[in-house]
Amino acid sequence: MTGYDREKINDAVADALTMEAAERAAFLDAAQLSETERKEADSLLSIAAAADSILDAPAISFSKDFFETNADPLVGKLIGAFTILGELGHGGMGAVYLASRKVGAREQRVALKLLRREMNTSLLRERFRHEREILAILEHPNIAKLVDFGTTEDGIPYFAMEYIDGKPIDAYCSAHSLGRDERLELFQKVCSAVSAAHRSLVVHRDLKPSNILVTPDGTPKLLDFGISKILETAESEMPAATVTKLGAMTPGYASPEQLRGDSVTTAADIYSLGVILFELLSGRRPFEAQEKDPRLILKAVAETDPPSPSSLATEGPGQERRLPISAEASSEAKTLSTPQRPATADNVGNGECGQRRFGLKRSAATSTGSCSNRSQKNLIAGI
Amino acid sequence: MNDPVNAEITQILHDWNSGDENASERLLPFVYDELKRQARYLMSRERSDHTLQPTALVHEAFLRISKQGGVNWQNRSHFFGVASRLMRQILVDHARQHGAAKRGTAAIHLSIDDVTVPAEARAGSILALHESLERLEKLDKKQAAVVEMRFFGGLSNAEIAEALGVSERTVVRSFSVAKLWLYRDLSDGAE
Repeated sequence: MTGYDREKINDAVADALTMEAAERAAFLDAAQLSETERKEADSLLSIAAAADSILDAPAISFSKDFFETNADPLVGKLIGAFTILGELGHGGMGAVYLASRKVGAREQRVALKLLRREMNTSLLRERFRHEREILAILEHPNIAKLVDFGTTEDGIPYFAMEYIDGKPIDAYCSAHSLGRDERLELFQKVCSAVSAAHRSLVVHRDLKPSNILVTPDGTPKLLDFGISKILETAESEMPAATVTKLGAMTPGYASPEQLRGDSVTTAADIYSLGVILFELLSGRRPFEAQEKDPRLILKAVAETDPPSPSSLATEGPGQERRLPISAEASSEAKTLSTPQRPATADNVGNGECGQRRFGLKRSAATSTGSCSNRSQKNLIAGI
Repeated sequence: MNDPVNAEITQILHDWNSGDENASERLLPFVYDELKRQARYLMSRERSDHTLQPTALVHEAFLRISKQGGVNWQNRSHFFGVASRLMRQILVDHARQHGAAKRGTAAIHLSIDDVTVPAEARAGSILALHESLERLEKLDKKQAAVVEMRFFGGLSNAEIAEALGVSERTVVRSFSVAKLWLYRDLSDGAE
């Protein structure tokens, strides 16, 4: 007899395993196996005694110690020309390390972002490369620069960014007890950075105070384009883009369309800027109470006005001058394509009321609510 | 209205069920940290003689990352398959972190009795098994799935039978033969 049927071997071996070892040969003789099939069956059965105890319990029951935390093995290691000094933070796809290299006689410190080893798949490498490319096209004094990039010896991609030794913008404002005008000045620089990104067709999508660090000399720097997106390009080539986008989004600052999982335009960043501005001026976020559940934020944005920032203000900014902040938050991004002038990051900073209004209007000093249009469900708040 | 994270996970799970090879890769960033955290938390409380249920870890992790509404599983067997694959990815990753050489030692440490063997040697065996299992997958998908669910997923024969839509007897028989094939493959590789 010839032939090789894996199923037939499996059946014969499974049957033979239920018998005493001494009975197996006779059983196989009667099983009408081809010569190669019989050889394979004999080969497998010859190790039956030794193999019996393997896989006798779930792997995890004797691998518990694998999960014990130990110090980061990367610290002190060399990646490219950079020595890793310590971890700055980590997210879904990668960790960010403080690292340094010698440039001439000078030490250059960088924030080195490394794709996690277990995430080193072609799909996620592509996402990672995408972030690096976005950083490379953005050049602005208020955006952290790309310094270098490469791949480690074992094939893990990394890139190095300008290291910003600063405080999140909200903490910076509190620590320096900045007044309202100083806060607005700082905020305006942030708007100009976001606006520059928008001109390059890049939407940040995760603007929040912890991604805006202010250096000791008072320069705000925008960081973390990890979930940003290039508009209308490469969308079809980026199948994993939405994965990290949703994983990383921060509900308190995310626009309604982001919370809904709808497509996102520059208007999403404008909304987030509005929340940040609200927070810088009042110390609170407009829908802080609802942040545990994105659905509650959506409901609140659509149906209610946020509390007045001045009623919440507990610190710094003066309250004697009243300024309205407004944002059209509930309507979909489609309103931006109406003939009315769209909001841009710049005119949020300049205080114009655009279609998505989350801006400041200094001239309307005492007329709280003057931009209000409840039919458009605008958010209006007086400071 | 769906929570977008849940919606995204549900979409990935749907793709997974439709045979998308990349799905488990896409899912991992969502659950990785939570799963590790759960594992550490539960293991710190479990006694060594207590049988851990990896699927319970995965279930807990999914519950935590999807606080509203929950993830939409197609069915129980869908969950069993996903949980087993994730546990495999995570254990293999941890084995790598434990500095296991690919072919650690000639000895095969894949039994509960090996719990006292140094971590590096156990990690080496788990990595080696992972690779053997990849070879077995090419030859016999069903046998490989049974091993993945039992060894990495910690599922009972009844659960595996349910997940694969076969009888419990078939699961037992597949597992008994797969063990022989894997043991031989592991021994060959350890020369």
